[in-house]
Amino acid sequence: MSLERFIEAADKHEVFADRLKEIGLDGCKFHFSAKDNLCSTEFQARAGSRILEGYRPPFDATPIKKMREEGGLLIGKTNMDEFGFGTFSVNSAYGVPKNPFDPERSCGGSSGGAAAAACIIPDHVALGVSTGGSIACPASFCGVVGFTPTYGRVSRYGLIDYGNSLDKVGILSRTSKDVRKFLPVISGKDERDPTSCAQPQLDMSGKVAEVAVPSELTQNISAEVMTCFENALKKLEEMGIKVRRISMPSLKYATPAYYILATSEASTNLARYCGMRFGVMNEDFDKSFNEFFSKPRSEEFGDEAKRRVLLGTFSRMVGFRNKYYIKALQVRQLIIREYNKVFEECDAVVSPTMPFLPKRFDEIASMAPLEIYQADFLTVPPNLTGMPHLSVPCGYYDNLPVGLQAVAAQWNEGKLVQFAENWESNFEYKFPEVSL
Amino acid sequence: MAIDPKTVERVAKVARINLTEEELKRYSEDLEEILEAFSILDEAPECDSFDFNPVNVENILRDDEPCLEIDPAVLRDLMHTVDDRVRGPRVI
Repeated sequence: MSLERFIEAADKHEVFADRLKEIGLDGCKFHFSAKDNLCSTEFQARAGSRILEGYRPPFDATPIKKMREEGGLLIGKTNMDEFGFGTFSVNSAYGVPKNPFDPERSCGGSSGGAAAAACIIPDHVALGVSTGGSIACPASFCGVVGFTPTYGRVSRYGLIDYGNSLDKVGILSRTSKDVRKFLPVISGKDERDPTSCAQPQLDMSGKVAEVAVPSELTQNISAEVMTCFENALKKLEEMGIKVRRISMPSLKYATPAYYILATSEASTNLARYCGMRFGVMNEDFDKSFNEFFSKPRSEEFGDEAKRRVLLGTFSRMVGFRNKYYIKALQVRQLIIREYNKVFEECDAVVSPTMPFLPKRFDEIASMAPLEIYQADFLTVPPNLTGMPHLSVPCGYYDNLPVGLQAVAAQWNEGKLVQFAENWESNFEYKFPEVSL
Repeated sequence: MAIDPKTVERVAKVARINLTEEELKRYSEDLEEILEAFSILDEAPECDSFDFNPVNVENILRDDEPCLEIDPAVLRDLMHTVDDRVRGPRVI
């Protein structure tokens, strides 16, 4: 199944189950998809970018390899914002996935295709990638469970880099049972990714008895989302979970710090796309070095990719480095400390996942870049600090899903999985009626 | 002013991206607005220590054992090659 087919199917709200019956599982135990920035041998890996058109990796990314070894059938790659640069999956060179609950609305980003696949295809596991919220956001918009592990828990070997100190491979699915089942499969040390070698053994036990709600994450939230969130908090209390209201003042610096670090890292990572090594090849061999390299980058990078490369290159430049890049690293440390202080007494920090309901495409078109960046203020803090987090559907407004985000201390994935399972046994998820 | 069009022009050159007049104007305005909002970072307290990763990462060295996982010929096939050599732009 090609990427185009995923887009086409999302467009039509087509039932994948029929197609799966047709192709069968070919002796495999389960089927899964991978976000298009994860390399695999039998599909192009384009990461939503035109500059990677035609790139066929000669190897499998470690998480894909591990899923296959467990008996999984990779049925396709899912659409995404170019290199992960976006909140609404509208920045792909290969079409825009549409929200299964309402085709006029966004799936969220950047793992929008993964969230749509997890929502539409029964019993499906979608591998997603999060740098600043790219699993939680689309999970929230598409009404599925989105799990992002601690930074370094899952090997990044074979992942097309966005921000090396921020990228995390995770899972999107209709149920947290899949997270319990497949997180141990994709986790583990991998000598091809040294950051994965720092991890302690994955512990899937643990329990959330008390959660904290920072006041900074309940401001600037739409009334619809806030109503669902407050109802969810009441339900948590009924379930015997203590809810504590707190303040985390350093969170106000999270979004700028994140965007400085993410774009700085992205601008160096994207230097490799120069028309010579991957994807689109430049044939103007008689041109000078700079002309040769600049041509495909100017012609093939999308609007948001250029914006982020410019912002990141600027933040690292002599004279500005201390003001932006180094300061952002310091702020990340401050926020980690503040989180850890909260985790001394509480098991998880909870908030809405996104500040508004899934946006309509016409609303997105009129948003300025800064406005879009600022919409990530709820998902950025755990991503910046490498904390494991998940989004679960916690309510529906006007038939649109609303997500609740829970963040745990680094390496405490087990607590979050238990939390999601506990939630699921008290709250029923809805999935949209799909028609052929 | 956090950034002016002249600086954006210089940044674009460093980043090997050619900007049209329209792009230069638009990105200059966007970056100005973004950096203006991000100036809140100036108010953040300093932090005595920081790392380049959010988790502690130690240097772990593996034994340098020769191995061949991907045939170099496969990698070469992904690029422009002439007589088994990779082609690139002219140097001089």
